Amino acid sequence: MNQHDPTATTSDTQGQKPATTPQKWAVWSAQPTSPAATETTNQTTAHYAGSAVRQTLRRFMRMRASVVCCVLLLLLTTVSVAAPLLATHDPDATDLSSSLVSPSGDHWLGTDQIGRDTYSRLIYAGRVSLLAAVEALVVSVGIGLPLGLVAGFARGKTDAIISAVTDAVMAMPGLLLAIAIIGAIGPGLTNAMIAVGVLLSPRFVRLVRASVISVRENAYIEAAITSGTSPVRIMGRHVIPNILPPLLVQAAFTTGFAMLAEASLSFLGLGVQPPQASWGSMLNSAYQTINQSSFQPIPPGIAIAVAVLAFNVIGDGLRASIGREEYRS
Amino acid sequence: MTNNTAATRTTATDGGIGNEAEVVSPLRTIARMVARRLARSVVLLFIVSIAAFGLIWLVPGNPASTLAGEFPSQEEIAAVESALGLDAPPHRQYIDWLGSALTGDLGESLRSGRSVSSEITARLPVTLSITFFAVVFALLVAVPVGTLAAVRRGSLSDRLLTVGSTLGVATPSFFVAILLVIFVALNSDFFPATGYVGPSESIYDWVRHNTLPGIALGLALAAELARQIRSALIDVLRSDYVRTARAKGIPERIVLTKHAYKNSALPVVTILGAQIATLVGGTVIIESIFAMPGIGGLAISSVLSQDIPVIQGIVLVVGALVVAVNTLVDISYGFFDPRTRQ
Repeated sequence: MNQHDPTATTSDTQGQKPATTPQKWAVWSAQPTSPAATETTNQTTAHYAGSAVRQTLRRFMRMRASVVCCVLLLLLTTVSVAAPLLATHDPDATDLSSSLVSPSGDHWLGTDQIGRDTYSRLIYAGRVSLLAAVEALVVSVGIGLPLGLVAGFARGKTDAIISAVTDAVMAMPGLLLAIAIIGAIGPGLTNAMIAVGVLLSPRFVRLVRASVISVRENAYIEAAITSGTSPVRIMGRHVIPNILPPLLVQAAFTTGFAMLAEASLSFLGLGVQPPQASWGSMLNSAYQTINQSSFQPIPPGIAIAVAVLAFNVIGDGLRASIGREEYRS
Repeated sequence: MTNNTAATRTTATDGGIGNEAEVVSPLRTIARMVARRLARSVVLLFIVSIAAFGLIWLVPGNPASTLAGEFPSQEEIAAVESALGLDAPPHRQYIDWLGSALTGDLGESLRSGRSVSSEITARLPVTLSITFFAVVFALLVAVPVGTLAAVRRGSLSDRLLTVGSTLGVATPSFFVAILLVIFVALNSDFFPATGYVGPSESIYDWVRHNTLPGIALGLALAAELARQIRSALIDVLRSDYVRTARAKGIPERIVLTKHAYKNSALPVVTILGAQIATLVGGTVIIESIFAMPGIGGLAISSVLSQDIPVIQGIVLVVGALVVAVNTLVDISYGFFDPRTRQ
């Protein structure tokens, strides 16, 4: 990345000053900035970028556990998307004559208290759980990325305030704070995931801030600042590509954590509202009938554990294979 | 995440003093360190208090009419308004609330009319008990397991730890709790599935009631700690002074207990401090499964009835507790490791 950026800066300056005199062109042409030359540099950049992605992929593929988890997650997503095709019963159809039956040929994972097919409900609930986790991730990146960029770039008072608030949020018990926020804005899956997203955003603020601070030490950023490139452009062109690897790693972990949070809140009845179900709420209703059927809590519980595990292991694998040497551990 | 915390802590504290600290006596350095950490915790507490109070502003619409219950009359709305002091300007409301909070008065519940602080103090011991049992369980598991894995690196038990800790971190505590209820509580009379008995009534029953909740809550912490102890021990066991100790012919057991543990204790303490918030938050759901009358149950019931004063009080008290624990951990860290004092 590093060695190509000066070229990028040069083309920046050119783009901003199209009305350069021929004399100035003479000076510039000492450097390879003729259209043809620029093209070659771009190709080299593309070549390098391609090989970086390929290298990362190769390193990642070597980590068997992470690859298995990727496949697992793909499978979960496919099953959730194709739930209408794969379900054997209507997930909301009740049948009181066959409540809490054990797994059988007709009901693969048995039924719940009011005779709904657990297998069909499980794959439909997967949609809700996965989507909710992604919702929270989007909220937390949406808050964390800009705040982290601002804190890292502005430094001084702005940074001090943002960092203090970040510290305070991180110091608080997340689940309790999420519950408190839901208490104010009211229960419901969207509200719950907004609360979770807000509470997870400090992770991104810290990460992005630290990355920005370390990236802006580089000489080419200083050069870009001196040559009058706008901060927004510097962030878009130089900073964000540099912080993408650690951001991806954190995103994997955060999605797993958001899933856990969704399951917890829905278990407590503060997230998803009936008749819609997520794995967390299924676990709760199964727990209510634990004396009659001790099997029912198992499928949703395993589903949550497996999904969270998959995100964590993928995060571990990404951390070990992505980005520059110093990011890996 | 925990690594992040440690890193920020050191960067947050290394501003300013620089070289002159070498000249200053150690006592003064420690005093300065303590003062700095205390100042930081005051700032954190200030933000926590604003967050707790600010919850009222998140209530959609006119808080007073929303909180007064279904179909409130004009008088009921006015009563809620004056009970919450909503008729004053926002900063005035905050100062009044904080002022009485500092004297221990957190207002009254909108639903039961009882004092919020007495509700919280009545339930706090339950939550603290579960947290205590979780930490004890985590240490009891993590120290031997982490040590074994570090000493026999690459062996089967080491690999089992890696797999086990990955599983342990990912399994939701409430699923562990449910499994414990199914497989242990429903099959034995010794560990009850529900309820709480305080230690002042019967230590024996206190242990019986808190063991399963403690295990459920502490499992993820145990997994995390075991992993950290393993990597910290491996680092220490590779160091020169351990090699010297071994070369002197000191038995391995003494090398471990006298030299290695001491130096691997610091990262463990840091993680414990960082995880306290997660643990306390986790008690909410564990309490609900084991039907224990703790802060969590109070939080959920007051959230479902939008009992804002109670929620505000819980956020403030729990936040203050967590900040206090973290500050103590920070300060103890500074005592043990002179490098972090500056």
